[in-house]
Amino acid sequence: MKKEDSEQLTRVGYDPDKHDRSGSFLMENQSIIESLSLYEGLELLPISEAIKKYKWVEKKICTLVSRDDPYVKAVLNTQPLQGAFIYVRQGYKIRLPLQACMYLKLQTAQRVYNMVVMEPNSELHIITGCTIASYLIKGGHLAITEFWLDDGTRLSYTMIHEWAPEVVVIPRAAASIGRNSVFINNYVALTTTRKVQMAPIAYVAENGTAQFSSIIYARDHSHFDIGARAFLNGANSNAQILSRVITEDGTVIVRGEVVGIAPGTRGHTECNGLILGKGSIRAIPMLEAKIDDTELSHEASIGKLKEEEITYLRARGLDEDTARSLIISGFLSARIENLPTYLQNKIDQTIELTLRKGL
Amino acid sequence: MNVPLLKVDNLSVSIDGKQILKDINLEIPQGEVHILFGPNGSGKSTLLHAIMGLPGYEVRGKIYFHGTDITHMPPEQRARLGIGIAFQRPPIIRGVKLGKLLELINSNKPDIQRMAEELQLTPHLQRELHYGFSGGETKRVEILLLIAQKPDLLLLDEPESGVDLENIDLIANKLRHLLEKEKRISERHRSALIITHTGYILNYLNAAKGYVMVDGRIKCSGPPRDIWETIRKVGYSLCEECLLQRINEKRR
Repeated sequence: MKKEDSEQLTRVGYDPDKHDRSGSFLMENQSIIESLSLYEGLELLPISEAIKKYKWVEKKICTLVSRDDPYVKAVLNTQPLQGAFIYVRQGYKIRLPLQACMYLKLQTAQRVYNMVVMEPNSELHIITGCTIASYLIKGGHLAITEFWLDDGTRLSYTMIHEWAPEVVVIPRAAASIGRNSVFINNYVALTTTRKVQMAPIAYVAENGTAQFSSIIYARDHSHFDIGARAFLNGANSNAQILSRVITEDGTVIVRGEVVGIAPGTRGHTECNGLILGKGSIRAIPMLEAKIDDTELSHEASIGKLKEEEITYLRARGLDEDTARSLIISGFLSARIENLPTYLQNKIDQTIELTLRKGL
Repeated sequence: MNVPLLKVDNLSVSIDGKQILKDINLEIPQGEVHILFGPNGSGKSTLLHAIMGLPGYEVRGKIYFHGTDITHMPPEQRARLGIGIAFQRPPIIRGVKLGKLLELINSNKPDIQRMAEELQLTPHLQRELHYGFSGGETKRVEILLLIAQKPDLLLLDEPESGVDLENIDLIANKLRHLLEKEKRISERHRSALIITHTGYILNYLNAAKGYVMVDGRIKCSGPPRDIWETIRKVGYSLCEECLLQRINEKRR
């Protein structure tokens, strides 16, 4: 791997040496470069091979996301279908993260289909980095990811995106979350990107948990339309949709939708926004209760940096830029519940490096 | 003659055109602790903020530190020169960990760990600044930040208010140490200007001078314990009639 590629991929969580990884997947444009499982109980294949190996794989494709979506159609029309198939066998609890990276090295639209299947009582942590070669400013990334979490499973899926100013990114994702299962979905995007539009969906069964966190820094002309939707189908299931967004001349729309369907369900959507310079943030919560025994709430706050906080840090000897940078990185570095320390540290590190580069 | 560590010369301060401080004059020599008394709203905190150079204040007159005119210096520059402040009500800064801020102020990590331990703040290093802290914890954190800064001049805005006796003991002993009270006066480098409403701090720090501020003016100055005794007995009602005069008469 060339040094510049290695550096670019490292920025989004990919370790070329695969140190402390349970598996590694790398897709460059439409080619699979690497698909390697390093852990017993974990199968990692190109989706095209998985379709040949398991009959049930093809039947599952696009049963969670809508086939009517034009972007879904665009991916499905790509031949051969390319992406990662991640399969964890029953009872395997894999604590080391699996890394999956989608790398765009041509000025084209990358089309990806990923499938994650978790058998009962299994656990996995995935860190996905999506990025573009440093010499490109234009391109596209269309992706579908479908997750099947059987009963008693735990999956964290942390996505770090680092794109270029003229890239359009349209991911589609949906998860079926089994009984007593936990799905943690994190999205971090801190660099200028023409357009990102996505709202992953969770269908949550009895006692299941869906937890979505988005950390966005919309610079320049960036346009982020992000969020999540959770359908609380099973009794005592719960969902949280949390967003921390900063705009600096960009546009951010944050959507959080929770639908309470079964008794004893709880849902919360929350957006904290910070406006630096120009730009806009629109928080759109949507709560729908289909039963009286459900507890749904939303909370949003949007504002500017507080002078009092900057002054306080200046009185400690920090210059104004350092004080602002510290507050901004602090604002973005929200603790994500249930996330392994390594992944939390990676998110914090990404925020710090990006801000250091950008401010 | 030695240059005082701090000299405030005919200082007047306004906020949005409203005058808060009027013709303040004071000098703090190196190694001395001075106390600022006064009723609520008299301008004591404004004086500390003006010395620290916090924005939002219109200032007339001069402030000298180590003989250098710092009247129009930004706060970070004053902090780097050696002025440190412990705020009465510091802001909560979400996401910013105490440990991270300390590292930016003082790069000596083992030192920070030790100082935090001594102030019983080791677990707080990983917590967000002042978020969910008790009154005592907030004050101890302010002192910890000051210790990390190692300033020559400490501006302490009610370091003991809202703090239980055990915490007062801890804070005051740390301040004693920071102010080198175990050394002879001539060997002390640090000075302090302290606002107090409770007077507890006087039991720990041998303060050289006290001032009473009323309505934005220093009405009198003198031995801090004597001033405090009078305030304790009769409040600030006598200040308009010149408290100092009464104290001096009493002494004679």
